Amino acid sequence: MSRVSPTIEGALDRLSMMRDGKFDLSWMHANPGGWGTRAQPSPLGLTLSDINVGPYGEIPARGAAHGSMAPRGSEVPPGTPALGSYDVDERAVVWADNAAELYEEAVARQWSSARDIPWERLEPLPDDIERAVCQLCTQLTEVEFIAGDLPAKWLWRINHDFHEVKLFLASQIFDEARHMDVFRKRALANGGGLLQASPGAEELLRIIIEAPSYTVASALMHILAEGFVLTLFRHGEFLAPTPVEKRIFRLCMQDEARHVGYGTLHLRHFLRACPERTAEIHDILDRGEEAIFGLGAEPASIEPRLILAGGGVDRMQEGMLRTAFLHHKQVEEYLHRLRVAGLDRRDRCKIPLELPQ
Amino acid sequence: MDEFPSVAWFQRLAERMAAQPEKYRRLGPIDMTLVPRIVFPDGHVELYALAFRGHTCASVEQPASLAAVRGPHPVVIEGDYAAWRDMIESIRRHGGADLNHTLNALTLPDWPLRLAPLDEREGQLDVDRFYRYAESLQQFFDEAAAVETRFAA
Repeated sequence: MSRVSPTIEGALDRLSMMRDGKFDLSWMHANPGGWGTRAQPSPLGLTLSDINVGPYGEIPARGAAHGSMAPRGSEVPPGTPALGSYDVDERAVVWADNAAELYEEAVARQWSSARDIPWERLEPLPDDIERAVCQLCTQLTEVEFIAGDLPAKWLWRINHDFHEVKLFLASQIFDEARHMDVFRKRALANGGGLLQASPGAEELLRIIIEAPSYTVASALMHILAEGFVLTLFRHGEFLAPTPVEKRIFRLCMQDEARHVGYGTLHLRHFLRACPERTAEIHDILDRGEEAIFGLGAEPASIEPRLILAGGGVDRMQEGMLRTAFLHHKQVEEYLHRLRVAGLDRRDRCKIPLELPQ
Repeated sequence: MDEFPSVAWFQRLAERMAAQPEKYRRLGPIDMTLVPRIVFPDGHVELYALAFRGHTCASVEQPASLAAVRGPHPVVIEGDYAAWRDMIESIRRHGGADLNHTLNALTLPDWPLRLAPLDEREGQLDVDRFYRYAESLQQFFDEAAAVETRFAA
């Protein structure tokens, strides 16, 4: 037999003892305070909120210092090695009271872009309409996965004691994967293709991905960017030329609204816990608002929607009149969400509430 | 045949929802109270409160006023009677909402239907629930395709 390492030798010794009937079983008596738990399912089944009972439901103000992936509420043996990555470990900077609910909702509302979109109902469209749809899809394919990359950038640093938040963010990453795939599929499915990427979008995405802290990034992405995209999804459903786009946008709307919901309640939680950090949020939103307004006015961004709203490239000015309401609604809903979160930006917002007629 | 609007008419939709548990389970749970507010040509207003819990519409009530609406996360969807009738007739004609008569398409411009939160503190958060449950709520109203309807005005 070849020479084995001490680790392998130790494991073989333990197996040998077990073969001799010498078992440890000390784990059976671990965590006595957590034993005897009988969580009860609610009408929706056994949810994360349902199992937050007794010590398992105590969300610490600061995540456990052991820095491992040990589950909240378990007994962590001394000497358990830290993984060295979980440095986002304050409840205030990640928590939202609706994270568990939104995670369960996300899992229940998963859909498949292959199965749940009635692709067979696609029909040939006039060339300008197809190009407008394809440009819209190109831009959404480009920007949607920022809401996957950004959570992924922070997820591995968030302390495991806040598993509700981590699970919600994992569900968001998967939502965004689906958005990226469904818009790409639509662009390639009806005789068109991808059109032009957007330098303005990249500018906004860079501000989001480089945001200096998780909460600042969340305010920028969940509330500002995803809030605006939520309205664009609603507008996409409104303008949809066939039942295919109708269903795509309606299902994406649902997903996006969950992300906005998390961001709003996270910001509320953060501002209540750390009011002295309000200026950080204002500062990043100053930058984000300018970037998103600039992006919205890019020809490749706005013109496809004007074509769809007017009904053709020769009726874009009609389309402009028909979409005038959208900007006001988008900004009002954004400011309203911030107010619900505890941040009043009505007098500071960089985006004009009304556009020149 | 039930008259629109009435508790009985909305109850028919709720019954059809309850009869298709697998369809609505797959769409996902709902937790909100939708409050249709219908303004008649003569100016009188009727209110209904549809309490969605999980995968069902658990109750249909006709509150006397907005202040009397009970249930979590109330969101008003309001519009003239003609707009409601037009939506329902379209659903019945096409077997479901056509491109111009989905709940989202009718409410996005705030006309002919409009969404408004009842709870000022939660405000937009409650309206955002309407977006979170968009597909389920659309399917619920699309049940009108199979409900024999008599119009009140």
